[in-house]
Amino acid sequence: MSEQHPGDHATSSRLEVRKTYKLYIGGAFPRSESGRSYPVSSSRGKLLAHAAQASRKDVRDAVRAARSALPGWSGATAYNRGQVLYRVAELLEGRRAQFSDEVAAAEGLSAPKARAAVDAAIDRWVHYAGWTDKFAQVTGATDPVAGPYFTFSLPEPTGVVGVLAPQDSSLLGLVSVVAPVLATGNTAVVIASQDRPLPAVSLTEVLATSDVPGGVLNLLSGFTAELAPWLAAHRDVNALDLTGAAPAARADLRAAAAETVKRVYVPRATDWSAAPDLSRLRAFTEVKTVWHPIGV
Amino acid sequence: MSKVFEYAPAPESREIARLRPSYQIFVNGEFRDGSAEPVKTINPADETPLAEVAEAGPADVDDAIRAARRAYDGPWSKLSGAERGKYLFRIARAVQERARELAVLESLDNGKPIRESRDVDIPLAAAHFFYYAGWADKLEHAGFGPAPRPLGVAGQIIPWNFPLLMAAWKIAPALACGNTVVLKPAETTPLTALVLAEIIAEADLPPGVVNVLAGGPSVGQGLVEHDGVDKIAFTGSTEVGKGIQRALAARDVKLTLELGGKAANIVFDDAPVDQAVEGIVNGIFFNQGQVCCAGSRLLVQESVADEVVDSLKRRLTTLRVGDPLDKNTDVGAINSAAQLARVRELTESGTEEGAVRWSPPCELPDRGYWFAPTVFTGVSQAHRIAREEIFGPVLSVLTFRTPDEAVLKANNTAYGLSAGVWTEKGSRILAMAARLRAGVVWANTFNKFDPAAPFGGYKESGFGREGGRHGLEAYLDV
Amino acid sequence: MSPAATPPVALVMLEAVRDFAAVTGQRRGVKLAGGIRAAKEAVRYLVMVNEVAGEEWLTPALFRFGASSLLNDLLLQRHKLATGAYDGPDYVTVD
Repeated sequence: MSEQHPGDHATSSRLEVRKTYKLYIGGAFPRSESGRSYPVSSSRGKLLAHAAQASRKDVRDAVRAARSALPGWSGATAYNRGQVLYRVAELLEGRRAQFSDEVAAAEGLSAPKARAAVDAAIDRWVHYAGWTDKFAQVTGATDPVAGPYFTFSLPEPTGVVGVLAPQDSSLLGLVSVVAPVLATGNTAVVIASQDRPLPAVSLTEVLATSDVPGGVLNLLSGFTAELAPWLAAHRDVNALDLTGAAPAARADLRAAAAETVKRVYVPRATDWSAAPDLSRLRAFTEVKTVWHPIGV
Repeated sequence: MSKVFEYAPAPESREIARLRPSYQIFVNGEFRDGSAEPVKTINPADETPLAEVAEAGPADVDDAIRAARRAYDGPWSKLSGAERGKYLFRIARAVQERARELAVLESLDNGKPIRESRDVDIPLAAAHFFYYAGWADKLEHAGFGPAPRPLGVAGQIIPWNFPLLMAAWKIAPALACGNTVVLKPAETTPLTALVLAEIIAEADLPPGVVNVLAGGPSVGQGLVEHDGVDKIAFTGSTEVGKGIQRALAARDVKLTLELGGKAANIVFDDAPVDQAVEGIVNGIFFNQGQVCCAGSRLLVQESVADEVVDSLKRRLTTLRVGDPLDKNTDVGAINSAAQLARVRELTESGTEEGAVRWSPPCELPDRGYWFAPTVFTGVSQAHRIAREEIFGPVLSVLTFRTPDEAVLKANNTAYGLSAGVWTEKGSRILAMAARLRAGVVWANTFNKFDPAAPFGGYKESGFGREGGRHGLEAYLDV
Repeated sequence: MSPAATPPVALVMLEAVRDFAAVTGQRRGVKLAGGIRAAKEAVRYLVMVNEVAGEEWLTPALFRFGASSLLNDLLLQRHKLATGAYDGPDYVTVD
């Protein structure tokens, strides 16, 4: 992508074709059903583009798409999910330059710092792709019960997860919250960073050209404070990741989540450069214990 | 009852419970009166008073939490895991030593048959302490990092259906991980928790590490609202659990919930009928059906529905309902007048909504809280008795034709605690287990519990697990 | 595998005669033999007969024990019930 921005004098002989930044729902790129959009600026205040401003009906449609995609995604073998996620990393790698430009513009980073963030994001995606078929061995168990029973406990995906992506870290932070949700077999409705949504939308273009089935990840750009309450109160959402929520907004979101006993994840630290532990994998899995008698 | 063969009463001795006229709450290592009015706890089998029990007031809640905090900041956090473990081993052994006393006391206070408190509740309680004792010095191997830290002070609120067992489920992992606790037993069943407090005091646990406050909902609320707690663990109804989750929304207090259920017990056409019937009976009449994971919906394959239901009804005629202290008793008393009223109301709704009600001939004592084992046939998913948790000895029977239909109906609930599957086909067992949205799946068995096996719910049955390595997560800062 | 009567074996036999009676209307008897030595054990089997097959089977025509040492234990138990004192094997004959 060239470094031209609206308002620049056309210094080259060719006019660039500007991208329309849309939502990503069910594997398709619709505009918001509300027809709204909002301006997105660089960290220095320069207008970068307009992003779709999602509405509660987009939230509703995204949840429906995520729920439809869940049986297929959670029912795929862990190996298959790992391969699908790894392919996403392959495609991300091919778009390193594009993402570096977008992250630099969004976050006001120098070119080298932006490249480092993009590289870290790709590596993080690879890291989670490698977890899919191992997590069950690390957290699952056979339980040595005091009786003639074979009893085992395994992690299963929670279901549809509503994710509020980090406000500041537009790609590395986004990948760090999204990849573990998908790796464990969940489907997601992600509300992108309000002021820095463009790298997230580009990520959805990568997903759309990968083997990730439509609806597994759905992305909505817009105003977090407007959209999050609809997600938190939605009775067909199983869990919430409140990473991108303003601390002052957490109380109301958690209260809404209580209506259906949603699992709510609020991270303590958000140092995206640090190697992740298992907490984001554990947060969106349920442990199922199965018993069967042993006998002839 | 049989004319040829009558069973003689086989009463367990009541004296063994060493019932005292009064019991005090346990704060900071000492037994004391509560600041609220004491209440009488009664025997639900005959409504006679058992003892007077001190009730905690707001000042006691505050004292207990402060004591737990002092103990946490002081001696408890300085102890090695190995030392903490040895305290828990002591408690486990003492529970085993006083097992018979505790079992009789439990049956008196709760109304459950002595065979259950003796063979299930108390042994499992001791086992939970024993199991978690061994974890205390091995936390670095538990999969939560090299040095997982405890949370601090845990407020724990437990229900009346398995009083001592629930206390063990809460206290053992909390202490193993290095936390201190303030436990509130249920209002109608405080006695075994308070005797456990004696055991804990005799084990020389440092004062304040465990505090036991008897009282009603206001004491629980006081624990939840107190800003001195780092963690709340609650087992009880979904409605109250949601209220607690709401109440904690503005704070960063870690929460685990173990709530209600409406489990489907699924019987396929190839299941051995007699065994399946035993499993059905165990599923819904164990503990008078007052179990969160009770198999309260029988989903039976249409082709065998008549045979299974007939066999079930025949089996129910041999269930003995009566004195909880009689070793022959299968089904004891309902825990309280309030609970009995709820069971009656929901059971009446079954008839009102068009289901067919049946109970075996049953002579119920005229004093006490009693409800005959009841089976409803002709039940649809929309009936209240198929959707709402009755928490009593009432079974709703529905049918299905295909495995897909069974899964659809079984999962068609906001609950997700447990499920049962009865079939001889191994691959079907595994397929059903994978598709049922429940935290515990019992295949060709039911109502099995073990400290090594994680237990907990999906969806509105709660979050967090108790038991096993997974049970540590609830009490670690991870 | 021991050739003695055991509770699971008895259970299966009693379920079988119950089911047979349900299908054909005919009652068949059960005789448990081998290894039942104590009166206490025998009472457990009687309970099983009562609860599984039904009280109609509690008659010599339909249920018997084939157990020689059981008789002696019954005599010992009867002495305890009558006198309150525990009895001994010297006071019952092996034949």
